[in-house]
Amino acid sequence: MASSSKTITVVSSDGDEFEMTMKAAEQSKLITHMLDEFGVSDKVPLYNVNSETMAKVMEYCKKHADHEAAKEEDGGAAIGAGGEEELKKWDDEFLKVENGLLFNIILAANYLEIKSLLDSSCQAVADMIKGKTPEQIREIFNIKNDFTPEEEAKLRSENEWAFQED
Amino acid sequence: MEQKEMDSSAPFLPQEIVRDILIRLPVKSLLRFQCVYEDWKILFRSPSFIADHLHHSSHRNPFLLLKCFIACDFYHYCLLDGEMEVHKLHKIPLENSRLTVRNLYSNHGLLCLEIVNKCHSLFLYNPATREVKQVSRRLERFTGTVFDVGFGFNPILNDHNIVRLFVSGYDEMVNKVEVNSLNMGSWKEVEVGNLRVVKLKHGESFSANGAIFWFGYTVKHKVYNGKKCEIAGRVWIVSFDVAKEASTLIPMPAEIRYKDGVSSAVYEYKLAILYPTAIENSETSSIDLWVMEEGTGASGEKWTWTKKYTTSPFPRRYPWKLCPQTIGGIK
Repeated sequence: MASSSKTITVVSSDGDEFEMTMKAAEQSKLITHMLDEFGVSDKVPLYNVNSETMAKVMEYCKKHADHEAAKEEDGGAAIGAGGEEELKKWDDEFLKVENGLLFNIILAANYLEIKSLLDSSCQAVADMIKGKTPEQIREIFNIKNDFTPEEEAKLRSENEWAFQED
Repeated sequence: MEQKEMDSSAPFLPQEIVRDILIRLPVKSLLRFQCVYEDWKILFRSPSFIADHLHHSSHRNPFLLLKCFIACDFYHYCLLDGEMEVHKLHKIPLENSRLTVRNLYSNHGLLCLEIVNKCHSLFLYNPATREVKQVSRRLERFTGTVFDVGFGFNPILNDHNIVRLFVSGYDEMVNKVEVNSLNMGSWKEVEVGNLRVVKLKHGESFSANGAIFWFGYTVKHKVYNGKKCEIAGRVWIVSFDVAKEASTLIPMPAEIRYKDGVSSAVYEYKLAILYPTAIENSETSSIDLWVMEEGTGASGEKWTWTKKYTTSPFPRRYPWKLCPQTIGGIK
């Protein structure tokens, strides 16, 4: 396992380099495996992630690594009872970005195997779309309507109550 | 260098990720989004998606179905959510008609309504999608009365099952058992087995972990003043395994007497009992939670019961009835 020396370098698809601590890197299962396989000395190429997304992912990993470290210190006293809630609030704010970036964060979290980020970001998308109309959904996910107008009308009338406001 | 942008809109998300997002949506949204794309409509109806969605929402949004006794055998139903807020159950479609709902069971997102009017009939209701479906009745006339109904879920086949118990004559002991599978849509008779050994308590079946449970007691007869009387002996739980179609008798702890107010529950995935006890020399009662463990205990019995908690006392005169039936997330 990697020693206590401190940082590694990852490279985005745009060729930019980002430094992250070992603890932050451990947030990603993929990076952890790559480091186990290839060691810490080399730069880790992450060509599936562009720089804009990488910057966000770095921020997330650092925040969560710091949170974990604080928990371990003083047996959790540093975090306090509201600690987990505060982290959740931070996550919610962190994910308030426009769709393009949010989707890229999801793809990066999936690729880098950062489960908590994948969960939070998928939940953020679900929360964002749940009140939308089918047309808006098609726009967001870039989907072409393959129902005929009659078929669509039938589905709508069968579930009329679902189209009404609560 | 891979760029995932398409035109100026958001990047394309692969199917597994879209599925991960859709599973988190409330049912109302899913019903609306059926017309987005045909693949989505098919996905939402697939058993694996439904199972994953239910699993996800029942963890995030667990609901308890509460049955409140109003008066004259009429029950009022409402839901209690994870934030301890009470919601009215969306009008069960048959409420306005002159049908009498004798009982209502919940399992895995579906409700089963037992209607007794001219004849005994069963309806399945999905409160999330608001669909109602009548369960087919057997065409032949059956002899005997439907004594009780159990509603269970078979996780192996991902199927809901309804169990109908029949009794004949005056002794009210079960003499016929039929099982209906939602997937198959038909009834079949199964062996009565241990369901006939004890006298079952009617109207309070409970299901969990792929089994349906009834309370029962062994019947003893004594003669008092020349009249034969029935005495309740030891209390048992009869567990009917839905997949195996076989029932087992589980003895209850000796302290537990047969009486009203006993109800079953699930505690950390184990069968449990909520047992009210009157506190001596006071007008109060408390409720004990007994949890069952499988595995040979010290006395050599196959199941051991442990009293886990006792509630604080409350006034005994309040009319109440415990009905902890979980319904899973539906909002």
